[in-house]
Amino acid sequence: MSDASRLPVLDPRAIEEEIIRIRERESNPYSSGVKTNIFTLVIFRSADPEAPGASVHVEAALQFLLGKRPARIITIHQGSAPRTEVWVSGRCYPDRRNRGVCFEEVRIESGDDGVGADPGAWAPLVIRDLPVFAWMPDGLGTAAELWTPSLRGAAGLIDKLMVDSSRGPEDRAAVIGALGRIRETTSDAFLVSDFSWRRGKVLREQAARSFDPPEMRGLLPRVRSARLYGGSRMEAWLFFEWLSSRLGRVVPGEHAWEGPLSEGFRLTISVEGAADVEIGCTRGGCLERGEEKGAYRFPTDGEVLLEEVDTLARDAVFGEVLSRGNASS
Amino acid sequence: MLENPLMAGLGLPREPRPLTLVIFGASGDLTRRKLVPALFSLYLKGSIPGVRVVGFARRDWDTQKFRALVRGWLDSDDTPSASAEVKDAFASGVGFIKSSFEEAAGFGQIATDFARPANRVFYLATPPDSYHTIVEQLRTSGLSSQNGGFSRIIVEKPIGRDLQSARALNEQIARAFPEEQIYRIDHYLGKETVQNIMVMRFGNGIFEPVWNNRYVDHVQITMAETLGVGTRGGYYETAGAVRDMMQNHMLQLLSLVAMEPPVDLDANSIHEEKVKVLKSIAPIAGQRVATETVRGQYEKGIVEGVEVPGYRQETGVDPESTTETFAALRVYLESWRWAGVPFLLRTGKRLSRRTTEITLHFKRPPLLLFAERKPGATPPNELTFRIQPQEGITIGFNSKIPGPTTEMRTVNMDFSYGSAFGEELPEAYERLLLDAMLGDSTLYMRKDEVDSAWRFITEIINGWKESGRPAVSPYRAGSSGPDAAAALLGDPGRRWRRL
Repeated sequence: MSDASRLPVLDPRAIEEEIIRIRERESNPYSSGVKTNIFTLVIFRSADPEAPGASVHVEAALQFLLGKRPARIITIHQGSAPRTEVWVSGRCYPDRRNRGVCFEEVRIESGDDGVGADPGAWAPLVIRDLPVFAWMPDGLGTAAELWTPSLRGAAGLIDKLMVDSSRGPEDRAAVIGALGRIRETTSDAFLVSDFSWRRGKVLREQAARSFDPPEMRGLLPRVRSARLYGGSRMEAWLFFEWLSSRLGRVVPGEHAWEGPLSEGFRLTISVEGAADVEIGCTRGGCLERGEEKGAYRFPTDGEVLLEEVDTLARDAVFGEVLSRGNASS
Repeated sequence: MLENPLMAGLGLPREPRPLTLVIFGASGDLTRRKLVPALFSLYLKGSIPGVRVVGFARRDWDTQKFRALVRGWLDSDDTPSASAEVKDAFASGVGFIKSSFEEAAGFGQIATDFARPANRVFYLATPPDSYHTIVEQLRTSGLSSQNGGFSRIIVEKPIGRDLQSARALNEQIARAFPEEQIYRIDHYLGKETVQNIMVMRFGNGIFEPVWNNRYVDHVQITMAETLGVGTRGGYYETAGAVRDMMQNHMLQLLSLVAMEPPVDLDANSIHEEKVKVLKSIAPIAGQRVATETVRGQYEKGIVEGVEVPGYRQETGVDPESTTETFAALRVYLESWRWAGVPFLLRTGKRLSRRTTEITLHFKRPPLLLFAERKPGATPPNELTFRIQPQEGITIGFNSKIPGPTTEMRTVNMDFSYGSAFGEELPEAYERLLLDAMLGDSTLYMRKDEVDSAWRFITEIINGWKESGRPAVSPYRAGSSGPDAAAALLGDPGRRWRRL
């Protein structure tokens, strides 16, 4: 990564010039040139990125993306200085043909003047004609409180907002409430996705496949309850709500143990008058579904981020689950 | 059948029903380099949880030995990375049958030792001369019948060496397996960029309106290799460039680029359209081979900085050989869309650059406003699909050179597949194997495609044999092929694309 250049004012033209200068310098070692940007990612931090450990997951995800998708990354956070400050940097990673896959990075530390948080500060920096993704990688409740005004002012600029409802100390009601507020204040102008929902796909997928053979489909009306060992509270809740939503009735769910899905999980679905359906996965990624065994690679935050920035389609089922959550909270 | 509401919105890739995949020729190079890495990649993605892999070979191995070998292959660079635990789990699931293809007992063992899952896919990863024996054994042992589960067979190219032998092979396989159970593989069709041809054509609105003889002057399809015949001299002597590349890969590319939009994306709809193209090819027979084809053979030269021998000096090659290592054809399609548009096909070994591409050369504007003073200064537009390497699409168009005049030059609008995506493209075999397990034959060749392609190619081969013309033109290794190929261009304004 290049040393960040600190710019005295949040002047889009000066920032663009600095980006060009840094891009030329960073791309110099790559004999086959550099790839072009394919989207802008605006990261709204609610944690102080400089605080110890606060940026590990964000940086790990970006590192995974680096080398796969060239993009402009704009990070905004609330600082404590009187005036808003801005830094510009860049980093590249060679692909297999020694073409640089680069990030153009702009970091805005919004000061007491509130300039950096205003959509007018970052909106001119997004690349026109390319998708714009917003990402709130920290606790959602705090982020929503901090950044909803900024989102509201630039709702038309954003194609998709990505959150991770498992991050942060908020409870389920706070998360659902925050998502509801964002959607309401931005008039549903953009897609909303949740990393926890995507991580939990393994649960939904395996449950769906377990009941897919013709002889199993008949058991679906007799599904009584579900119990999950593993996963975060939100991942478990999203799964139980999904099951209820898909079956059109409340299926009681018990979250028996909390831990990352990637550390392994066991899901038991009880069926009236039939054997329980058991699905399990170990930390190494070996999957068991009834008598079948296979492998499963748990996605890292980086892989989830990659999948999210490659997808611009509304997930109707996720919408249904959120609506159920809104109605019940 | 009851719907499964849990499946809604998951967008899950289809998962094959539990099955046993038997690989004949499990000790061979294809199994090690392509099939096992592809299967492991599918395993890692969770795409084949109910698939049991069984190797079948005459080598003096047992299951433990085969598992150890497979486990070792998973550590190679060609194989996706994974934890040792996952690799162990995959390797410990494979089975092995030691048997020659002539022994009925070996085939009996498939039915007894690997009775479950009863669905079976047989992969012939063997030299073609074993196909007959294996297929016959599968038939007599009852393994080709679909009692209690499906039974499919995947057949590698070459499917015959001319129309007659291809038909004989197809008929023989058909005695054991009905057409819908046969999967004839052309690994080119599994390549992402080949599949992208259809997406480009039918997923965008801007290309199809100009995709016809009103706007296209001619089409060039090139498959150039820098490699020589290597250790395959013996085989190549009986094949040549036309059998080795034209009959399968190049005619498949031709059919994809020239086909009409299918009514659906199901296998049959696509096969139907491809077959129509192959059937519409105007035959090149008799004396026409002298004017519509060119054949060449490489002599010693420098390729990629290394001095290489001529074809006749290669191991296993007759010093007087007239086998072609280069072939170029001028092909016309007798269809409403393409009437009068030449399709110029060329393929060769030991050429200056390795490249596979398809280029549509468009007609010049009807009024050459800007070329009045400099005839020829308005190069025609070109649209190129780069299949390999540097997969992508380039559109060449003319732009004004800055300054007080209206002089112009050609510039490129370039989409490199890798310009948006940094990761490796999946191996062709991965997609093809999964499709066969799922029962989707879209990316495989149907019997009538093979038949039509061989009919066309066999007439050329016979024409060469009967007339001895055109003579095999020598070309220097590391060059663009024989100069004689220029004769196929016809119009003096046309040029072969630089290699």
